[in-house]
Amino acid sequence: MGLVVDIKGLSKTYKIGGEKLPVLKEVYLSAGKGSFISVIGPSGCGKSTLFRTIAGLEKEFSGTVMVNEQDIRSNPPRLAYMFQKDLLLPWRTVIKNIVLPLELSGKLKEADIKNLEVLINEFGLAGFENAYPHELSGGMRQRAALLRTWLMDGDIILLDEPFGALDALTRINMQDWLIKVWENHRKTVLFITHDIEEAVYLSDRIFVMSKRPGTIIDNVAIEFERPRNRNMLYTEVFLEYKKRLVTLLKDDKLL
Amino acid sequence: MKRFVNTGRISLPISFAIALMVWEGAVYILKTPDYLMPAPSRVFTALVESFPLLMRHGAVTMLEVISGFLSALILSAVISLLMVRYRILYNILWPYMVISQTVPLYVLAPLFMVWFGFGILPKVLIVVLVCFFPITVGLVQGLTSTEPELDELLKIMRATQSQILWKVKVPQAMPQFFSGLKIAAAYSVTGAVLSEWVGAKEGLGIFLTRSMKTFKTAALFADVFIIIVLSLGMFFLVTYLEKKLIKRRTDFYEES
Ligand SMILES: Nc1ncnc2c1ncn2[C@@H]1O[C@H](COP(=O)(O)OP(=O)(O)OP(=O)(O)O)[C@@H](O)[C@H]1O
Ligand SMILES: [Mg+2]
Repeated sequence: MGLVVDIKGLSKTYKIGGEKLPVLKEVYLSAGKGSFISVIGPSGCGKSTLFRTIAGLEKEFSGTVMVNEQDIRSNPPRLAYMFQKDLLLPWRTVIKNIVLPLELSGKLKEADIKNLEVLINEFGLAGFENAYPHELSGGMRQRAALLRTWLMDGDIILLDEPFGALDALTRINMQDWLIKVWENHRKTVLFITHDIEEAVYLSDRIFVMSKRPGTIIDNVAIEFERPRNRNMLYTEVFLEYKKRLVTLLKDDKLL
Repeated sequence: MKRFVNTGRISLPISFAIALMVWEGAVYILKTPDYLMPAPSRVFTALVESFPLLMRHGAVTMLEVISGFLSALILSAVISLLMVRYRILYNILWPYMVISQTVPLYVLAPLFMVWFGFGILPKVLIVVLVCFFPITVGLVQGLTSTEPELDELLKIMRATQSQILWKVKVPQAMPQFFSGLKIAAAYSVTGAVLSEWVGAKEGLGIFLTRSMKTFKTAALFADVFIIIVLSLGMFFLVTYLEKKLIKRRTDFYEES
């Protein structure tokens, strides 16, 4: 079935000053090539830790994590990762920030400028190439960070709450925009959010996590056809999804 | 806010002028002898009279300042980069660097003279000692202030150590580096003067000693005035360079 991410029985414990803090417990999660997968769960349940482990940033864990059919313990994974913070370099212009991954891998010279221009347009950054990050709105910063992530090596993209810090309206616009960009390119996206509506609107499948120590309670396939449009969010079917997800998350709280 | 800034601009010259007038008036009324407290007008006359002499001594002092400052800059850069790269060097060197700052300069200055002679070398060394610490503190702090997540992002992008250093750590360190550099610049002239004070053939410090010994207090004040101007000059030179460097950010994207 072409699973590009396949996680089996992943557990992870942080040690804080001798104390053990179990963060992930027996996590099972998989993503098919070209799918949009969301991970949803309460704050502090271990979503970021899950992504950090997939990206190879956490060395100590139990279970197996396969990326592109290779065990990440022996083969450090190649993937794109966007942290919860945008991490734009304040002394670089937008364009210089965006091309950082190309610059680092020595591909800047051969980079297809035409293609780059198309992407800059698509990411709504045209005209701001020479602006500095502090001159951008929150949404634009986020799009710049997204485009930089886009230009990183690998067909798998991990996005850790990319819209978490945005106001409601900007967030909606960003969702509409992201869904369009993604439907154009069809890379595999793993997406963290704690916004149920956002998860349903964007995803092919939603993995629901419990409170810490995080484990996958259930996963819900979203059957809306593509391309998606926002009107799907005003339907009976959407409410059913929402109800199911809320129930899953809420029941967990009572435990 | 705007009004506040505007008053800041004019309040300094006005307060300075008032202070000068009060000073001049007080000396006139109290008839203070020149060797105790010369009036500003007397200081100005002395400044004009000894100007060629002050310039000659100033040139020597500035030679020491510039050589010391630049040497400290190079030394700081090399040592900071090494300390950031090899943590063990940091652990070994850092305590000595702090201790070096606690030894009084007026003890070191004559010692250096005994060791390195009457020439400008011991003076340059004092300036190096004065400048090295603030520059290094700024640089090391700047070079190690990368957010852990940014380090991880660079790792995911498979950046090499030298790429991380030159493309991220060094540019990121610039604001803190310049803070240290400004402190060093402001103190560099005083450092040179102090070391000349102990003994020198030429320099603003030795001019200071001579004026004092001969009770030429007005000339002494004129000398101090030159020292202040030169110190400020060093400070603003660095501030200017910082501004210029930051402006140059605009044409970062030239190469592609
Ligand atoms: N490096 C670390 N050392 C120790 N504990 C950590 C570390 N990183 C995270 N934790 C703890 O692990 C737990 C899970 O953190 P994580 O960041 O994965 O949560 P999250 O689900 O992403 O939360 P949020 O939605 O708020 O971003 C938290 O309780 C956090 O305090
Ligand atoms: Mg998180």
